[in-house]
Amino acid sequence: MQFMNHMTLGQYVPADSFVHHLDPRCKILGTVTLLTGIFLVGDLRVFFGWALLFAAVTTLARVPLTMALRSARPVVFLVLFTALIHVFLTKGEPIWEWGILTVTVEGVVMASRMALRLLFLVLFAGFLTLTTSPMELSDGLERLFSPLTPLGFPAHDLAMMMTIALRFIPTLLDETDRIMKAQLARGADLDRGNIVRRLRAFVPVLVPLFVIVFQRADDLATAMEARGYRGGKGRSRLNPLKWRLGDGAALAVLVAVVALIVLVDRGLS
Amino acid sequence: MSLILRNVSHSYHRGTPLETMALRDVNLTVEPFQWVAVVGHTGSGKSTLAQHLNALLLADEGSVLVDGIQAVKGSKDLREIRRRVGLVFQYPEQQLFAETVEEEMAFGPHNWGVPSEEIPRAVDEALALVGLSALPRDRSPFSLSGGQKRRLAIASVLAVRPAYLVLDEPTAGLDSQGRRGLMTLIAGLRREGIAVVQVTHDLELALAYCDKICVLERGRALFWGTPQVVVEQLLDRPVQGLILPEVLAFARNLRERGFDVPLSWDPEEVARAIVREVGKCSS
Ligand SMILES: Nc1ncnc2c1ncn2[C@@H]1O[C@H](COP(=O)(O)OP(=O)(O)OP(=O)(O)O)[C@@H](O)[C@H]1O
Ligand SMILES: [Mg+2]
Repeated sequence: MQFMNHMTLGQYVPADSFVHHLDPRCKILGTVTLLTGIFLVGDLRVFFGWALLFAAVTTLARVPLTMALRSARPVVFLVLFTALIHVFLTKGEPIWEWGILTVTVEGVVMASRMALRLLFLVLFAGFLTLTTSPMELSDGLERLFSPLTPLGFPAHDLAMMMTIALRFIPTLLDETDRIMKAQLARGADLDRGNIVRRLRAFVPVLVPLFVIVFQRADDLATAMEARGYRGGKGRSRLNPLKWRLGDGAALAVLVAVVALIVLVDRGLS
Repeated sequence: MSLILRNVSHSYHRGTPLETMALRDVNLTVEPFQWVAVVGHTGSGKSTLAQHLNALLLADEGSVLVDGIQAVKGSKDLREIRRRVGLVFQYPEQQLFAETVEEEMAFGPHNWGVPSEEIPRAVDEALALVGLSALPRDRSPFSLSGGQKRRLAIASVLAVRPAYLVLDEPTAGLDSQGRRGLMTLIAGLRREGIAVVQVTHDLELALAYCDKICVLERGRALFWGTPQVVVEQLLDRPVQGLILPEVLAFARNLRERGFDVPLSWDPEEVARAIVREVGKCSS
C-alpha cells in the first residue's frame, strides 16, 4: 500500500543526481524561464533546440528518457486534437481539398507549431515534478512567494495547504475504496445504467466521504492548533533551503541557453 | 445450507512487486445458527477473509460456497451471495448517507428489489432486532449518538434478512458496557436464526460468546474449533499478538505449580477450584 501511495502522488523519481540536488527554487525559476521561452519560439526548426535541451537535462538528471517522455502521455490526445483543429481551420494556400475540408500550408505549419509547443510545455513541466518531490516543490514555492507576504499574499498558508492536500490523497483513496465496498455490500449498483443513474448511485458514496473529509479536516486543525501552530510567522524549518553557488550557475546557464534559442528564432523570422 | 471456504488464498496487487499474500489456504465452515469468531493480530487477514464471505473479494485459489452457490468472477449470482451474506464493515456508522432513518434503512431492500409495500415492515423488524424500535423514522441518521449510529448501520444490513451476518470488529471503539450490549444484540440475532461471523482481535470476547473460533496468523488459519479445543491448542503454541484471557493465564500458572485447577477462562469456575484447593491445603 505504501508504495502505491507514492505512485499516485505524481511521478517523483528519487535519484542521486545533480538536478535532483538543485534547490527547488532554482528548478522552479528555470522551468518558468523555459516555459516562457517555449511560448516565444515559433520557427519549427528551432524546436530542435528544445529537444536537445530536454535530452541534455534528462541525461543530467539520470532519468531514463522513456520515463521522462511518459509524462506527456496524458496530453497526447489533446495535442492531436489541437493539431487537427489547426490543420483544418487555418486559412491560406490550399494543398489538399475534400468536400468542406481544406488543408493549407499555413495550417500544417500552425498545427505542428501548436502541437510541439504543447508537447514541450508538458515535458518540461513534467520534468520538474519528476526530479523534485512534492514537499520540496511546496517549500520552494513558499520561499519564492514569501516576498509578497507583506502585501497580504498568503504564501505560507498556500504551501501548507498544498502539502496537506498531497498528504491526504492516498488516505482519501483508501476511504473511498472502503465506503464503496460497504455500499456494494448493501446492494448498491455502482456500474450499471446510464450516466444519470450512475451519478445518482454515487450519492451513498459521496455523502459519507464528505462527512469523513470534513471530520478529518476538523481533527487536523484541532491537532495543529493544540501543538501550537499559528501559521508561518516566526516558524523555523528543519531543513532550510540553501541557495548554493551551483544553483546560481545552473540557472544562469539555463537562462543563457533559453535566450540563445529565442534569439536564433528571432533571427530566422 | 452452509457457508464454506475451501483452501482459499488471496493476494493483493497480484503480479506486481507489491504483491502481499493476505490469505493462505484457509478452510472455514459456518453452519446455520452458529456464531463463529475469526480472531487474529492486526494484519493477519481478518478483514480480507470477511470480504470473501460475501464475494466482495474473490479467491485467487480455492472456492467459496454460499448455500451451494459458488462465488466466481463474472457470475450473476454474486449479488445473490451478497444478499444472503450481510457484511457490516468496521465502523459501519461511517457509511450512513441518507436524510432520514427510514431512507437509510430502505436503501438495501430497495437495491435488492424488495417490493415497496413490504419495505416498511422489513425496516420495523430490523430496527427491532437492534433495539431501535422507538427511533423516529424521520430523524437524520447524523443526529444520532455514536452507539445508535452503529446499531442503525447494522440494522440497515439486516433489513434484507440475510441468512448470514458478517461483522468486522463490531465492538471497535465501544466501552465495556457498549461492548456487552452489542454482544447481547448479536446473541439475539442468532436466536432469530441468523448465523453470525464476528471478526475480532479480542480472544476473550470470542471465547465467552462464540461457538467456533478460527485463529488467523499471517493469513493462515492456524486453529479451528470450539473454544475448548482452540484454547488447548493456544496453550501449546502461542499465536503472535493474541493475548490469553487473564483468568486462563492465571489458572495455567496455578496448574504448573501443582494445583488442581481447570484450564478455564470462566472466573467463577476457576475461583471455585481455588477455594477447594485452599481448603485442601489448610486441612
Ligand atoms: N486494499 C489493500 N491493498 C493492499 N494490501 C492490503 C489491502 N488490504 C489489506 N492489505 C494487506 O493484507 C494483509 C491483511 O490485511 P487485513 O486488512 O485483512 O488484516 P486485518 O486482520 O483485518 O487487520 P486489522 O486488525 O488491522 O484490521 C495486510 O498485510 C494488509 O497490509
Ligand atoms: Mg481489519
